[in-house]
Amino acid sequence: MWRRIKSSQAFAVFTAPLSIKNPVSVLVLGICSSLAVTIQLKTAVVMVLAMTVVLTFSNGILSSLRKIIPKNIRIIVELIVIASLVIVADQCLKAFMFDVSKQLSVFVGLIITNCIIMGRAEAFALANNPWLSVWDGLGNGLGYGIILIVVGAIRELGGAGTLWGISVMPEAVYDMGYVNMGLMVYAPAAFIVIGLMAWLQRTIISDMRKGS
Amino acid sequence: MKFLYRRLQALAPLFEKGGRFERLYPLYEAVVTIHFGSSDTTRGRVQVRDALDTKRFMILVIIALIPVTLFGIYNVGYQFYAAIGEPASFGSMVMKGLTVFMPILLTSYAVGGFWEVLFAVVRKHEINEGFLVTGLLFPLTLPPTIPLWQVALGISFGIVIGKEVFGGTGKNFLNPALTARAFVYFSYPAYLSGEVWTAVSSSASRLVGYTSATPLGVAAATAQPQAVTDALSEAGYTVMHCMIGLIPGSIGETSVLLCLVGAAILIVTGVASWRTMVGSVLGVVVTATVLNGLVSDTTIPFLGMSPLWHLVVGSFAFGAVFMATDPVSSPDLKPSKWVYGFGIGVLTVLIRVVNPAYPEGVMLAILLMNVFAPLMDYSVAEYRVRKRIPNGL
Amino acid sequence: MASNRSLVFAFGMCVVCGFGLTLAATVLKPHQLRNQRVDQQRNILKVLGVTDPNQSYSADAIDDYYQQSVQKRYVNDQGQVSDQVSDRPIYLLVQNNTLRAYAIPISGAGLWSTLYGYLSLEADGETLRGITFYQHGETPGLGAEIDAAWFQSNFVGKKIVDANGTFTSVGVVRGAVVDSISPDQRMHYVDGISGATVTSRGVDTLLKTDLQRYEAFAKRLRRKERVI
Repeated sequence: MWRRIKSSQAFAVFTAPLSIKNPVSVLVLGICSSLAVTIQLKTAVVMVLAMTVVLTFSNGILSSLRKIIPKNIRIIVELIVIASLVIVADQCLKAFMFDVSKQLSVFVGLIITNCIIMGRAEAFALANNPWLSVWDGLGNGLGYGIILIVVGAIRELGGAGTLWGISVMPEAVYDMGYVNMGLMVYAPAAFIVIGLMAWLQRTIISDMRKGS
Repeated sequence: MKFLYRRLQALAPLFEKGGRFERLYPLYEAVVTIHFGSSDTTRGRVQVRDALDTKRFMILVIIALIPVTLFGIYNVGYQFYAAIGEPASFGSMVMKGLTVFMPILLTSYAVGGFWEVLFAVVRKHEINEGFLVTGLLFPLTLPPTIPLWQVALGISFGIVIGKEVFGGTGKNFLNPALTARAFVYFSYPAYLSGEVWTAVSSSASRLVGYTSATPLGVAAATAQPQAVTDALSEAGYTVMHCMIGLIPGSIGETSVLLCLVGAAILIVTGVASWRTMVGSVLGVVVTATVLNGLVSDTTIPFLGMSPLWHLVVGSFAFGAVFMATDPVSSPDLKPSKWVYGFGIGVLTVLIRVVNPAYPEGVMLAILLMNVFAPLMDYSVAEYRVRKRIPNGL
Repeated sequence: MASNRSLVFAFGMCVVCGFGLTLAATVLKPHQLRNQRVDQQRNILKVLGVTDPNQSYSADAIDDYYQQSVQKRYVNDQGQVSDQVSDRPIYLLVQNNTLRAYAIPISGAGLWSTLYGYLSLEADGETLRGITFYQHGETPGLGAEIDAAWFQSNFVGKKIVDANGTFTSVGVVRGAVVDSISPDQRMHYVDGISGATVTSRGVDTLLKTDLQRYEAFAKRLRRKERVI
């Protein structure tokens, strides 16, 4: 069973964006939101959920419509679908997760402009069947998510000494003179952390290639 | 010397290819070449090489830094005893200065050296003496009250992110020492601003009425209708004071006079560019003069600070002499050096005066111009190429 | 007729998406409004000292507390409390029909951003009870210390009038109060944030201007007039 899953096309489509085709650290897409919403783990996770849902649905919807969308208004149709999904996601967050949506502020709305979504719609959904497209959306959403969650965890731990709002730095460490790293709260810190992750990942990938 | 040479030669097989410590060859090579010249010769087609290799180059910078370093050590002690209001001998001031400065310096060298060796071993290249300069420059830009763990983090950031991620010495586009300082500045702002400039820890032990505000701090806090010059002289600062440098500030930055001595050494030996230095002085003078012209009753008094004052306060002299002229992160062509230096001067004054958040602007000005250095060289080169008359016309 | 097909398709998409969005917005609107209301109530209860800052409360609990004890009214030019809407809202903490404390909105320029918050005073009209900021964009570690407990607890118990009853506001000094202010004046000053001169000065200014706007009301309290 596992072997059959592993050799399926959907599996390959799903796992590639998690590692060697990661949208953030390898393709360097969707950087803007990765900088903006990763100050805390919680906002990063909520952003990832919103993004993954939007991406999966937009890929699915656009892929099922791909044969009837007139080519000359292709982009605008993609935009309508994506924009509608984003607005719905934003409204839901405002209604059910108010604190987080306040912190995410405009960045949920800006999912519309996230290059990953348009990119996947253009590059994948319009050329493949809905089944594969949904897996592709899910994979890319989670690939984006891995990076965001790690960056969010590092930044929250460094910048505030907490994880998910819960203080994890022992008080004794502060008594010894430790202070939170202010730089982590600034957007450039996300740049640096993502850069280091990309460095690490590329080194591993190139080592893997040499090894095989 | 001969004995040492023979000992080292005897050890060589251990580190050479196939030896037991093959991986640590960079370490061995560094020890040998710091005592004896390098025996490497050019193997490629390039025949002409400057006798001034990176190693000698970096050592010259360190020699130029010795005056400000020694003075900085003395000044830390001097400020300490002034703050607690006790008379003290020259010797005890130096001792106090040493107990404050040496741990910072050693931390910087130990941690910086660790990263340098690590990358040299992994990448299999020589250990570069650049870190000796970076590791000394960085502590000189810090206040004496800086916690050592922040020094360690700062120098790690400077070496790894400021230099090694781009491929090591020669490939970095930012000055590593300033990158390290910028990291500490933005990470732990409370430790680089406010009452941190004297080595007295708590305000309780500070003499009542004694304030450790730097000239820049005083100037920035001046409110209408007082003029900046009055506020400065009220706080006990004159241009002469700032030239000599027995004032609170970062460890190595306070003495403009000794920065000039360092500048002389660097220029005479051909290590640093006088164009960059003169350019930055021009930048400060022009910008400060323009701002002086804008002064009115409603503007902040800082706007009226004279160009001369701008040149002597803060870390401008130190930055322009030792940081801006870093041969790696500054531009290579003569015209771009002028523009680069001028830009540093302009930005320094603008950040000091116009931006209320940062009392000192030299660090940010140099880092920003570092980023533009390659573009300047590119533009100058393009311009020259375009002026060239094609062959055969 | 490719362009005709495009038009029809575009029109269809717009109708479908427009319908979906309208549906989502209508269904979710009440939730969203309630969230906004509770968020504001939470801040007001916090500054009034009704809720414990170290504890978290559910939206229902906040709503309950607020409905029980807080009245939103407006202050007019004469310092009277009325229900007529003005630009001076006031949140009265009323228990057993007596005024315990009140909160006013405060806002003013910091270094990078506008600071928004609430300030609460005791029913004597001269003693500060608490301060909180709910929105700002100041430097972490420096200006953002206005959120810190040490800075906010600084204000508690300070007096906005001097011994003669003249309005003085509460000043934010550079550095520590004990270093620069004589003992008999210390009840009018709080410690500033080291390294954040502009933000400290901003708080100083916004307290002066916003307290002044409610001064007519505070005066009546100080004269022990009945205000509600």
